[in-house]
Amino acid sequence: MADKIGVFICTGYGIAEALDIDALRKVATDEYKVPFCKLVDSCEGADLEAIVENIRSEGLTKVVIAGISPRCYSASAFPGSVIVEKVALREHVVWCQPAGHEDTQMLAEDYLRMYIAKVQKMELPEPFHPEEMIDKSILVVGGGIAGMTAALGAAKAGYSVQLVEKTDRLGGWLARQHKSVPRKPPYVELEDTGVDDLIGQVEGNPRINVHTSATTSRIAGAPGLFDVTLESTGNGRPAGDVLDTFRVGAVVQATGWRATDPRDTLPYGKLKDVIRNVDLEEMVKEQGRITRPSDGKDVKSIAFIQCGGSRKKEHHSYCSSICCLTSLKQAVYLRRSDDEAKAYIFYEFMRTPGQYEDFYRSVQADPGVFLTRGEVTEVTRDGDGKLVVTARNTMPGEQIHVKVDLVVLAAGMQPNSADGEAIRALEDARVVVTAGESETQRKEAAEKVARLKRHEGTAILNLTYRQGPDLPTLQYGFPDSHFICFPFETRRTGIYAAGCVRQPMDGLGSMEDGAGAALKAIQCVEMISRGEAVHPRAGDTSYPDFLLQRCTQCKRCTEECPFGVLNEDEKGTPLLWATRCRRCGICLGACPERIVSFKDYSVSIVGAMIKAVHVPDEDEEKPRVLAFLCENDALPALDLAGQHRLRYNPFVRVIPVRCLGSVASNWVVEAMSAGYDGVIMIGCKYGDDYQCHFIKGSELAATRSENIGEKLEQMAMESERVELHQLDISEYDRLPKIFDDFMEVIEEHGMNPFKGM
Amino acid sequence: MAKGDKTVETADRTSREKQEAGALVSPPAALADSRDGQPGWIDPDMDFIRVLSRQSGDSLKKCIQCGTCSAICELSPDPKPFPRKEMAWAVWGMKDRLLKDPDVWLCHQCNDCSTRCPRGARPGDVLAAIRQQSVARYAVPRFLARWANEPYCVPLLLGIPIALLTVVLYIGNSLGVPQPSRERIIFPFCNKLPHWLLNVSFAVVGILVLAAVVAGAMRFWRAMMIADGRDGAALPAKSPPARIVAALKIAVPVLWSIIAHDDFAKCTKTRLRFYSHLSVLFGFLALSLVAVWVVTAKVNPLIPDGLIYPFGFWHPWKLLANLGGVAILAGCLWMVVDRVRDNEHSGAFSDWTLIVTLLAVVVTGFIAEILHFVRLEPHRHVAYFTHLVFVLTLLMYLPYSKLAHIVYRTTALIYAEYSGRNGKNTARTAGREEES
Amino acid sequence: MNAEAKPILVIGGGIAGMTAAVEAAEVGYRVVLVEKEAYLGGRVVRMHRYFPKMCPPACGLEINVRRIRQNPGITVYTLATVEKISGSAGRFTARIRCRPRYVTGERSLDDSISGQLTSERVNDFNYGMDRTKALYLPHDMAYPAVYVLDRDVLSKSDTAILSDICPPRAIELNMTEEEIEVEVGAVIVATGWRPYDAARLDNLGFGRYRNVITNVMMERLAAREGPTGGEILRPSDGRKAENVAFVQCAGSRDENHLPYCSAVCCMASLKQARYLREKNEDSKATVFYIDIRTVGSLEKFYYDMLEDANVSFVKGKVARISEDPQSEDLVLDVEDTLSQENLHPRFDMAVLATGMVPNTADLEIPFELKYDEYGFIDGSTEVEGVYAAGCAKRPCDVSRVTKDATAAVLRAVQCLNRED
Repeated sequence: MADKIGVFICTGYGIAEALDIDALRKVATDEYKVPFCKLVDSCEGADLEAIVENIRSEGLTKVVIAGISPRCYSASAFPGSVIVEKVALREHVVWCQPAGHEDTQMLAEDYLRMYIAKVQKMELPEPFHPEEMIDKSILVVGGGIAGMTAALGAAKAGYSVQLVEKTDRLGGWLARQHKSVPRKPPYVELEDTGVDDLIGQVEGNPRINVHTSATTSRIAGAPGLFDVTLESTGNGRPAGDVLDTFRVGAVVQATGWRATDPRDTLPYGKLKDVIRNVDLEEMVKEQGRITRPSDGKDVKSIAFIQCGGSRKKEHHSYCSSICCLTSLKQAVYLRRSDDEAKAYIFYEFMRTPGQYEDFYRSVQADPGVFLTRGEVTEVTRDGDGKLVVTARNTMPGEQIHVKVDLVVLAAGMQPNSADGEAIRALEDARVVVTAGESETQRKEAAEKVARLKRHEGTAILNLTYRQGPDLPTLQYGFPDSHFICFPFETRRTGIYAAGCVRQPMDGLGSMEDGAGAALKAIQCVEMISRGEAVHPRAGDTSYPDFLLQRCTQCKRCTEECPFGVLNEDEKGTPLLWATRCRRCGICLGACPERIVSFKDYSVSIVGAMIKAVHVPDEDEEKPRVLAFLCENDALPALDLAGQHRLRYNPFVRVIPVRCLGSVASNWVVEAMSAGYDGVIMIGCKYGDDYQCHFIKGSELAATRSENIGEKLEQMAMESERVELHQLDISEYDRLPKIFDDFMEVIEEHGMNPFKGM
Repeated sequence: MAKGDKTVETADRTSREKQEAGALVSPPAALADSRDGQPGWIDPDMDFIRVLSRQSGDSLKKCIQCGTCSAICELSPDPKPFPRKEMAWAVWGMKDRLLKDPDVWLCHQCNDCSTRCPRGARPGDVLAAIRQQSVARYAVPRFLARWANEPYCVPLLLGIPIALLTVVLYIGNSLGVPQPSRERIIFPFCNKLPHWLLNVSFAVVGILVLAAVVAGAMRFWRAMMIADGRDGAALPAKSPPARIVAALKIAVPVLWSIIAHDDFAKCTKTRLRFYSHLSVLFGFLALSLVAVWVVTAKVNPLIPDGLIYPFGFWHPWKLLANLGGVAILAGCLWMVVDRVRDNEHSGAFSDWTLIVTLLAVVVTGFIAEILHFVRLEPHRHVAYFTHLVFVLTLLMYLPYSKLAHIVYRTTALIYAEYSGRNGKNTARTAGREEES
Repeated sequence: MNAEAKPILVIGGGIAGMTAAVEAAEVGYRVVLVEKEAYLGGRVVRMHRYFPKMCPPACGLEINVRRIRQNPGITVYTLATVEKISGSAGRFTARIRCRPRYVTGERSLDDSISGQLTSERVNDFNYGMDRTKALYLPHDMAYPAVYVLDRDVLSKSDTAILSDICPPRAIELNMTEEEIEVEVGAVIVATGWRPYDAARLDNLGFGRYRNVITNVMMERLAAREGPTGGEILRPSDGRKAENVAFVQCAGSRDENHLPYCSAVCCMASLKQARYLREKNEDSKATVFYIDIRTVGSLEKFYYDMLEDANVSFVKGKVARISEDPQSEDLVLDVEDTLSQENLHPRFDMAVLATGMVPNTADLEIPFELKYDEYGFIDGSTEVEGVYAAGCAKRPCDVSRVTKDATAAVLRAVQCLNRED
């Protein structure tokens, strides 16, 4: 059906006082000849209902409301069949520009033009539905406490589950524990691990299909359409045998952790009676008593050395978070065995957060438990075969020695994760080593191979993703991406990490993690089955469309997509897996051929907005600067700047973008050739503590903007006419200065020579 | 990390050396807790821990070494403050180390630390328990000290003085054969009490007690010297008189500050304790003075032609005695109130025994006195007899009961002065003015 | 998923409640979110930065608010409390009491309007360190972005002019309290925490000495929206705080106050030391602690702080804070338990790391639930249909809260899908 565009202009909010409403209206009616334009008092409450009523009665299909910031509307206010764009005249014009000034008027009119032009090009997105049915079952990799909780959780919520465990039985570390630390009030009594009950529930649940002695040798496809191949680990069936193949909708990776080997920091492995906490735990679990490895005699005294493998710069500088509790627990084991037994615990910091403090207190009260802060400097064997532990800076003295039967090192946790991108990089480098064009290339590749060699054969999930077979990992190999606000988010849609593979955590934490990840998996399959994007553009039904006949196989999109949405065929043509997509548009920004577009966000739509702006002639001395603002952080900051009535340069024209990574370099080129005097990009902070919701969007934009600079110089223009800034959402007060400083740069270089050409 | 075999051998040698060294320094008693007492070698004495916990209300192990106690304490010197480090040693069962530690006695148990302790470890009470233990270690003979702190020994402890006095009276009594009727038994020796004999026997006990006290104090002093590695070191001065002068130089100011209760005055928790202890102390001194006077009356040149005994009511000695009695009575009642009010710190057994004995002494004393004036027969004699029993109890067990703190605290304070331990905390005063 | 399921009631609109609401709604369930304040965001919205990334909470909250705005399945009640819950799993009835806001939201207001009023109120958002007009927006990014009118402080003259200065239908002075009953299938309790009352730490002088503040106040001092516009200044004289003491375990791990560990204070103080170092060039920070509890990968933050020569750590609990009346400087009494020495250092300002008290400590959920002795909801005892999340269960940091909230949603979803 034919589009019918309607424009509503609010006169309230001081807009009428600041602007020539009639002139503004003429922009819509005369310049753009929109069939319907109406002045309204406001765009809230009853007035908003009236607007919606108008939309219905007039049969409008595309609407521009010039009034308040889009952040003030709730989506449900408008009929879904209508495209509605909002112009923040209040926040971005009236509140930050002098009333009645001609520049203010120009700004308002330009914004109206930009958004009318925008809706003209926009189309209603249609939700993506693959030909095949979305499969809603969940794959859980790892049969430990987190994995079992996830599997059981999803099953109880009504979803069928495939649970894969590489060993021959479920339980993981939980099954290797004698007791667990207190989890319920009064938080002092050791508890049964409850592992058998849990395993029983899992195996007894009709919705859960348990595969032990199996690994995922292949996971192809995308959320809703993952095709999984299971392979035998050699228990029973010969290793490598394909055990099963099935389809799932989402994946929970709960592959857990392995204990560190403190060999290089402490005399572990050199003295027989120096063991790790995990070894002691298994000893107690199996034989019910603590004996000396060297002579099998009952142990009467133990020295526990905390952080034996954690918190050491040379090891990993993170804390494994449960070792303190474990040692306290194991001290109880010893004390229960013999009333005269002595347990010494040497720690730097005793870490028993929350109510665990109660457990700490209760263990402390035992006359046979001796705790002190201190650094263990030496563990030696005394004449009588006992061990002498020497520690510095302890509470009872500067240097103390205690004689014990056994020394237990609190070994740390290492995540059982694999860095998919590193593995891929290794493969790529290998190829270059043999097929590299230049000598130097091959040499560099060889070095890279040496550097990445340790990742060889570490693959766990074996995804058939162009960007590698596993989740990319961050610090210390933990595969999360936004661990504070959105802890389950990873960089592979529909694949969620849970338990100690994600962060070191206690049993309770692992259970929460398993449950949470299961929920995210369920949420994912439900959302994609509705054709919606998952976090952070949750509910977005648009998706990228590739005009492949124009594709030059430059592979930029496939390489730069942070979520590995695109695979490649052998020629390098991108293959889209739409259900992996988060709709950030980074592919759009990556593509030099401009072949990527969303129905409601594309090169041409933004191009139209750029062109819609009236660029005054050089002699008018009114420069124009185009500003691309990230809609997640920079744009709200601009609203705040308005809210605080901060004045800034009236020559700036702001275009919100999904992510700075989605800014196409030719938008800049277009802008410059359209006579703008400069382009400024403002996005989220990047680096180790990145704030970009699409992980590396703003970083990519930064690298690209350098090339853009070169482009400009080819156009005989100064590269300084393009700037990129990092801004966090709370730094609204920096915006005016950023704009003004940039204006000075522009003035230095003078007006854009292309003006009016 | 050195290779196994090599380190074994080195570890052995060092430990052997330490053992030899230890053998020299640690007093025989210390051998019980193995290598403890040698620098750095710890083998926690669990019985000691259990005893301490029992005597301090099972609180001691709760300590997390946060240091609140040391920082809040008004008496603790800034360098190496107490009681945190003592708590650490106690938690680790380092008996030997603790019993050689003068700081334990610098504490006047105002319990500021106990009220502030975030863990309820009650350092104040733990130190009290430790003090009791050191009395038990240094007292001569030791078994008496053990009895003195065991509730079930009370009858025995009271029995001894009763028996002693009965015997004395019996011997002193002209007719040696016990009479069938109760009256007859009491009467005969009551109407003419053998004062001379009583005095002699009290004097003898007094001398023995003094000897025990001196012995204990010397043991303690030596132990502290050893712990500080000052073994054998003596006062700078050479000639005996010079030494005495030097010793006095140190002792006198300390004694003076004890009399003046300087340290008590610093405790912020309650002023009550300051006054109560002050009045008890002065009462005690007054009565001791009178007692000594009376006992030595016969041979005392200051009293012309013996003395008319008992004194008349307005006799200055009698007045002093009565004032002393009142002072103790008041002070003790104060203490009782204090302990009852603070139900957390209701005081240990030894604490109560002392208070009760003191009360008993003065109360029986006054009763005897009143009955004496009203010439109530034979009750006044019975009362007097009981009074004497308690006086003797107090005297006999002085070196073993809580009263022993007179000796050990004084010794410790003098030692602290001598070893320069008693640092003063200046920087804090700015704060405290504000506080008050 | 069960399309006919009744909605999930989420009690508490802090980070836990918001997370639970959006996660549940995006699965496809309806959610009723009840918040007692006038805005969502609870405690975290008053934080200046999150540890360890030093990123503004507003960043994540903006996304969550957007998810709420866009999701028709979520109904939000602010200034609202749950009065009664009856029924059983799958079919609860909850009575919600909504206090009047006196502002309709029909028409948004702005400070050009509220600025014309004279009556003011103490700004609890900034922990009472400044004042706002009687007609106020709780904070810049408040959601809902609707002003609140504090009638108790509104002067007669202001009441008179209100109707003139406000747009029509914006204010409703005779708005009354109303009670709503909602049918819900499951309940998520995310009632969160509040800071321990520092005035009860009589030895630390809070309330007596102006330069003794709490860690939550420090967050506001550092925040651009705070009483000092983001400058860390001494309350007594407004001088830049140059030498600041961070007093750990102020109440926590203390049997006289909160026996448990509040889990976040160590990181919070390290973070705040970072604020100080970033904002006041030559400033010095000293952290007095019993144990530094930076668990997991948070440890790196501690290691990084060790690199800063102007940040020092003293192992020892501060026993007493006193004030020099002239300068209003503070003198601490603390033992450095490593060097075994009593110290009496002077500081410009002291920040008390006060701990977390569960809001359920005195304000219990009107339903049979088990609590531990501190008032935290006992997560181990499963009450069918009612699930606790975040700091209602235990003291924990934001990342733990968000994941726990997500976990709670799964249990709620299970409850809504029970076969029976």
